[in-house]
Amino acid sequence: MSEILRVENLTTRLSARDGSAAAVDGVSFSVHAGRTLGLVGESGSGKSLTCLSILRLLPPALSQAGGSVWFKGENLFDKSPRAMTAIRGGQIGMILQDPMTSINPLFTIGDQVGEVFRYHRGVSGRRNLWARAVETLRRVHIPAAEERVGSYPHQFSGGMRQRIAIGMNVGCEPDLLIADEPTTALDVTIRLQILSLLREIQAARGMAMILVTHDLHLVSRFCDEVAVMYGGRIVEQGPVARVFNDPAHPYTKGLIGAVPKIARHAERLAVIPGQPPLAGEHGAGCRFAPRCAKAQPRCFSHYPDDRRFEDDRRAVACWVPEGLPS
Amino acid sequence: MVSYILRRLGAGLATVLLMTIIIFIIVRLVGDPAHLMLPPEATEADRDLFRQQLGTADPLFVQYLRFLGGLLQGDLGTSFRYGVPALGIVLERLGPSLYLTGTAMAFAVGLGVPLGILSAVRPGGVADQAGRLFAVLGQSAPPFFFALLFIRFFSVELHWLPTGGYGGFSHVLLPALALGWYSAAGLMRLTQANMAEVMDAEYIKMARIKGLPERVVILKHALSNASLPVITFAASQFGILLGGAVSIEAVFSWPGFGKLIVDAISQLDYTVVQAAVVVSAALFILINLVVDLLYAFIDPRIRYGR
Repeated sequence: MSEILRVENLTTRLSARDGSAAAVDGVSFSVHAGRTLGLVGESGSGKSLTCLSILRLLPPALSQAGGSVWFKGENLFDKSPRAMTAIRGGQIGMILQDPMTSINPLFTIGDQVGEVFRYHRGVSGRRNLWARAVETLRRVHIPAAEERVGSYPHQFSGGMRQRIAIGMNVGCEPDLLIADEPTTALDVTIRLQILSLLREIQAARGMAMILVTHDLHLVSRFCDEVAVMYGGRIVEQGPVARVFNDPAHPYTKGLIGAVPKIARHAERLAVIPGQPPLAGEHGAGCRFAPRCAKAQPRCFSHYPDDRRFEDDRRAVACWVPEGLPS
Repeated sequence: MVSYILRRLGAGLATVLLMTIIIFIIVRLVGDPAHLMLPPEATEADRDLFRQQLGTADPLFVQYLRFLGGLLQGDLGTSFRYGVPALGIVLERLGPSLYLTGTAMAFAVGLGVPLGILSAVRPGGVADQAGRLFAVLGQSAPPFFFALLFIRFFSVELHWLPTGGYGGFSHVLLPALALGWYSAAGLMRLTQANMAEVMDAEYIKMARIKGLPERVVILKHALSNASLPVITFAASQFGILLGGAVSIEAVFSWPGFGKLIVDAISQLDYTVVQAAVVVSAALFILINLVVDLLYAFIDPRIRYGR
């Protein structure tokens, strides 16, 4: 099992007029061929920014402040812009949340799927590009791909559009696919179809995958590893089954406890009290401390180091982890 | 698509007719040519005779029906002042006007749109700074001011270009620059604002994620989406400048359409005013039709919505 991606100490800063704040703060994880890492956390915890940092596509207000991203043994932060263009869409694909807005409304899907072959595979000529597009659309199970290749995005449903977006990103057989909440904007009935499609494509080529989501059910069903983010940091990571059955970080525990269960007739939904911190608006200590029931004085003053356990397969950043001596 | 065009042309025709009714009434409210064109010592009987010769003695609706009858045969009446067909006079001036406005718009689009794109893509960059100065200058002074400035500098001081008159490229250059600057500034601002908005769209992010070269991201994916309002603005500017370039035409003694209309109004030459309005309304409607077809060509949602 080979390591496709290793992110080390990734730090992304948000620059504002009055200084800057770390939106992603020292994040490290790795993804292996054929495996899926689930990146979970609340909105604003830095999940999407981590993914955009990997592709070096941060919005102008954000900048890369440190760390490295090793993709197949090479640091992407050392690459020239031209080399990055070749890697994006060619070797790393990424799917966005809302397929209604992530496809250009003015061009046919054949054109937009064909584009990646034109710029990554040097395919030329409309006929050839459309042939490749049809082939790709079949792979993502667009019915009657041959006839529909000349259709426009608005002629497709949300689920179909997400399939098309997946097609645009896996056409060139990438080694890594980042799926940033790929099903959040879709109907519940469509979600599983999209995820099984991703899994099918992954199985065919042993592609590594990062699945960004805040849906823990999805993580438990589709991911091998999970990394839980809070306030721009990864607070806990490890194999999905282990982390979910036996969470070590109080935040992970709270998250799992907050998932509503239909069978259990609770009077109130379980919640984690308080609000997640904004970038830069937290103290030197653990970002979760203000909301943590187990917080001690040192939790507020010092950020805990990562503690590795269970044969180095798991890690937690907490002064008082569950089930471990503090 | 053909039926759509025919429908639009039909609606356009109705608009032209409505315009003729309005202008027919308004121009007759301005004054009586029998007073203006005859010497003050003429008797009321002379004036009546004159009105009968011009046809302005008849009731308004009779005059209008006569005008419509002529319109159907392509005859818009005879100029009160010159005694030749009014349509001929108007069309004679249309050529120079189209030439001037066309050159001005080519300059406005050719400069305004690229500057707008560059300043949207690199906010705070050289193009953004230069473009801002260019836009502020263009929009802060009337075209005739630049016209006089240009004549003073390029014609009088440097002797590079003629001071005025109708002719080839060297004659049209200065009036076109003076006329087009204002539109160029507007186009630049509009392009910049629309491009800046589009550049934040998810499909632009996706285009970059797909690893497309930046020029493809900007010129294909972003510009196409930002272009619709820009096209509308450019077309409306074209229509406005066509008849509204009076000051520039006056400064450069350019035999244009705008000056013709102003002169015809002050001379109460009803037929020429009517002919000019018919022609410019028809042109305006044609321009708008072309814009709508361009819209449908660019945006499939419009094309398939019909």
